[in-house]
Amino acid sequence: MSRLKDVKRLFFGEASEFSIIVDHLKSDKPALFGLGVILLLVIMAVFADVISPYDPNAQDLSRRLEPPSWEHPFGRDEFGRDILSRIIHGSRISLTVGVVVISISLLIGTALGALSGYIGGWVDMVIMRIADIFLAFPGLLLAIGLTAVLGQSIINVMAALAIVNWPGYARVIRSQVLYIKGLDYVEASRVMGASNARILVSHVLPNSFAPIIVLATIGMGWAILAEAGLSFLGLGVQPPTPSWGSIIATGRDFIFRAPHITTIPGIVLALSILAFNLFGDGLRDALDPRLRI
Amino acid sequence: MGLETLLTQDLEYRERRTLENNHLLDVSDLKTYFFTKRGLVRAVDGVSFKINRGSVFGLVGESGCGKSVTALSILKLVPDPPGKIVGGRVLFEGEDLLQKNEKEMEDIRGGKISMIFQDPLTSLDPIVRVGDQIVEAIRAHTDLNSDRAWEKAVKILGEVGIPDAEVCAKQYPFQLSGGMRQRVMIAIALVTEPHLLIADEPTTNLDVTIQAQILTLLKDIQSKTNTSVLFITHNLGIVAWICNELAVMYAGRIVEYGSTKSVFNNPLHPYTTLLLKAVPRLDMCSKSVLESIEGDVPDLVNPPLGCRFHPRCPYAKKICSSIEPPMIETEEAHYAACLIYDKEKWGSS
Repeated sequence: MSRLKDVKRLFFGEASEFSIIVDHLKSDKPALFGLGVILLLVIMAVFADVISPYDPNAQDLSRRLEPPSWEHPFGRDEFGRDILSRIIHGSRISLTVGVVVISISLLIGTALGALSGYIGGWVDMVIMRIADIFLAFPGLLLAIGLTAVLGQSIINVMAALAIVNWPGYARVIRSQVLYIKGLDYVEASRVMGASNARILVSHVLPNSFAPIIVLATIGMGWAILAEAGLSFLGLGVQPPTPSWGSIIATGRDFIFRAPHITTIPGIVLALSILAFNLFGDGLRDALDPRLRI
Repeated sequence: MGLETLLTQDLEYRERRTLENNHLLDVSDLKTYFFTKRGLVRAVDGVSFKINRGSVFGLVGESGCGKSVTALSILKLVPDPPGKIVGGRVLFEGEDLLQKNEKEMEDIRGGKISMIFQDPLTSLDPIVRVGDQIVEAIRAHTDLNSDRAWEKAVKILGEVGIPDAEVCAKQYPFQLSGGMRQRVMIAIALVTEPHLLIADEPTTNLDVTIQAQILTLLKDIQSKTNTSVLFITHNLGIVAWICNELAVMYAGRIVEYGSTKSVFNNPLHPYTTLLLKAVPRLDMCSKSVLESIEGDVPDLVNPPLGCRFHPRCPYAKKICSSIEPPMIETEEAHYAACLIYDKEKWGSS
């Protein structure tokens, strides 16, 4: 049904590209679910202080490891802190890490990938070999190594993840630029006297971005997971700051006595990553014109 | 009937005007080679021609004969590597373009020399509004602010025959038909009031009725603005209709060169003769068979020695495979590169 509508709108010229994409997402239930969870996460992170029922760092050692109850729906941890409040506050760390890591990766990846693809020759050779070197390391292992060297802080975690992550973006952007710089409209704007910088910024890059949007959405999930992983290993956020990874890590010692400490943040983490992946998939389908008509 | 009828249309007038004016573009001995893994491709090998102010010059030839490379060489846009302009001179308004640096060329491209392309479907950026693409061309070459440039863009869209130009300017290319997009391309090319317009097969990808509309539009604008046009095509009918002068290219060289009238009335080079015979005409008997030229276009990595057309030429003699024929003026301002017109060499062989 909606396909037919798209075709009509394309030919009668009343729809912008954007509204076609929105229409597509509307009919894609998993993507909508993903978007819903993502919005929930954002609200949680922004209004953490207002929403969270208790102070995430308030201890009550007399009631440690208490299982979920009406008063504390997600239970209490080994210091008697409210886990729900800690998860709500932890979403700040997760989202910040996700956004910052993806932004830095995008920035580096886009700049280097675009130069590489557009200039070509030895510049391409050098940049792509550097990217290959980074890609050859197992990502998380390199991040662990880097935080071990740089010291344990959230800033270093983000730096490490960005360093691991940018080559993927650089490669995708490069291949897009390689394709687009050969298209007629690029040649046409060169013939009309546009400089290389102008062609790259106003024609090649905007046209290269569709797959990157998808990659970045899915990358958010990866970054959140990676941060949780590093925090679980004790390399990320330092206590008592709540982070999903560190909550899971501390709960590990009590996994049989108080399984809710590990399982609940684990489920939240899994759900968030699933949400980003579903939304990314939906975006990919909506942006791909071949799947549209 | 047929070609002749088309030809007589204001040809006399066009010819007179051609003689009065001086040269806008003077290409001499242009050589553009491609250095490929397979070997050296002499895509353009010693091409010379002159375009007068206000005239329409046709560059005719089959696919791969070097027409488009000639156009790109004039703008210094030959993809390098593998291409390189290895020799010659391109005098435009008295200045050699081949000596200019990239910055100076950027001012000339789209300013004094504009170009329209074969495929209007892919020559517009799909995610930029039509009006903004025209504005970009305007602002690259003038100091107009964006509001004034937008007004000018809407105005030129109207001039190239787009109804409801204001709405069109806000649309994206995918919302326009092929003919409309070619009109937009023409608008972009003409908005800077170029002195020379290079039209590289501007109607090849359009259907016939739209072709006629676009050609009429080009012709109208040309006579109104007196812009010179380098018209690249493989369609002889279009050439007869629109061009004052023409050059026929074969395998990287010009084989015949003269006014449209003299070339069509009295083709000198065997290739031109055969080409004209291969064009279907309205006055032809329905039973008659169209002639075709035997053989294939030569491989430019290994072109035939001597005259490049000799392997396919019905008049070829032994001498044709050893001597490169020079351009010989057989009639006034009508040249052909064929040894038949070199009485001494042809007679002695």
